[in-house]
Amino acid sequence: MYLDLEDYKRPATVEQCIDLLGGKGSSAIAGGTYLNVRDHERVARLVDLQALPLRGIERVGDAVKVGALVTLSELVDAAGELGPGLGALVEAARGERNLCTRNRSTVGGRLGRRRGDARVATALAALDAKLELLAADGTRTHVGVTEYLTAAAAPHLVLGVSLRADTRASRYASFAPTVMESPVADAALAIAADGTWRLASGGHGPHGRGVVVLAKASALAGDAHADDWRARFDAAALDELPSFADDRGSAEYRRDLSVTLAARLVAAASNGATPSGGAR
Amino acid sequence: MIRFEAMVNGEQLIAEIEPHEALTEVLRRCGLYGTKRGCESGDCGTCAVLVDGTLVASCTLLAVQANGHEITTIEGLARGREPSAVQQAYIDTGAVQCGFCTPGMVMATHALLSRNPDPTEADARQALAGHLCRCTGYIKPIDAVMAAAALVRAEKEAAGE
Ligand SMILES: Cc1cc2nc3c(=O)[nH]c(=O)nc-3n(C[C@H](O)[C@H](O)[C@H](O)COP(=O)(O)OP(=O)(O)OC[C@H]3O[C@@H](n4cnc5c(N)ncnc54)[C@H](O)[C@@H]3O)c2cc1C
Repeated sequence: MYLDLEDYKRPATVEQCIDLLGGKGSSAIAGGTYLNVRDHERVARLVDLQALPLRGIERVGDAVKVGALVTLSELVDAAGELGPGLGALVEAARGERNLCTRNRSTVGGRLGRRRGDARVATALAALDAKLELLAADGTRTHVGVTEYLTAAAAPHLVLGVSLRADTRASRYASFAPTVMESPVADAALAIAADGTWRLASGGHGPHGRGVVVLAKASALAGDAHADDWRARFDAAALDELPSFADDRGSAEYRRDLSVTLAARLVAAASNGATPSGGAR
Repeated sequence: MIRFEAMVNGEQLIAEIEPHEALTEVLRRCGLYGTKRGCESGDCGTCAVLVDGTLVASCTLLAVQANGHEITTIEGLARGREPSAVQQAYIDTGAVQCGFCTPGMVMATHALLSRNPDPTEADARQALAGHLCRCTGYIKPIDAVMAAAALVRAEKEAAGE
């Protein structure tokens, strides 16, 4: 329950928004599907992002830009526009099966929670997405997903996400005991235009360190047809995966599940793509 | 206090609200009791309403966030005293037992059919995925969605649409 909430603002520009967020107890709110349920007790002012020009998915040169206010449903609806190259992002969004939540949850909100079970964060990490951030002093920066998720608490606003339009293919897989739960573990794989493979794994904790890029395993992904590939792949991935346990799975179980999901993605993609290297 | 002004079921609703109030609470305070208060965490679907035509859980949406938008609740679906085709389908298939989850399921069915008038059973299951029901075992609500789709199509055909 909101205990301290006294003020609500709906700014029309990002500049006004950043000013308003500077106040003590201020918090941004997008869809509200997280903030209106948890972690809001001490919020004194809500700064609603809904009127900001951060909607839409557009192609800009070599990039596909996704605004922070794009909802998971809008990502699913844009499957055709995003194509197989960015399919992992669509599948990650589709993984949210509760339509009320899918309809309201925004890309910025999923990232803004900075947790390992956000699905789209795993897909965006594999796709090597760059987040456009706005700092309190008005400076704009572009950072990678894991960099954003693991940064010391930052008063940054996510303005949008930039993806490579020429990504050749990408896939996403997850496991949860029921379709309505957040993933115990998930994985995403992207194959860039130059043939580089990049794997990401998520679900490793309610914090930003819960999403990791598997650089060593990615480097082996192209060898999937070799006899000893699975043993080498498993060893490389296990070496890079965090150990996180909770009431839904021990660390050993979660690590094993993560490797299995990643290996399945590689095996499935190996039939259709020619790899040529490791993670960037 | 904040002034809340929105089109609710086609009529302007004006109310004084606190910024922390969920849309569910404000709707119910204004006499729209069809929107049920359930889990209050977005998990059960019984509070579902349409905001600008999109299905949302009104418990995870503050009324201030919905200020200025167009809202449809279960009360807005009936045609006078006549149930809508979707409501009729729920009656015809016996998809209602205690009835607590029914408003949310009906809203979800309405949202599905306005986007996809010819759903498969898989589409119906997906549409009701976020709606918990402890009585029906979900079989009859799925039948209701399929029956509603047929009724809506028949109505449109009859109207020459
Ligand atoms: C039934 C249900 C199932 C859910 N399942 C999952 C799940 O599987 N995985 C998961 O991760 N979450 C899940 N959630 C939580 C929530 O839906 C998501 O995290 C959602 O994506 C949050 O998006 P939002 O737009 O609603 O964010 P909000 O609730 O509005 O905000 C969430 C946080 O992000 C911050 N924020 C919002 N926008 C920005 C921005 N542009 N820049 C910086 N910070 C921002 C806010 O300040 C807040 O701290 C679930 C919620 C429900 C109700």
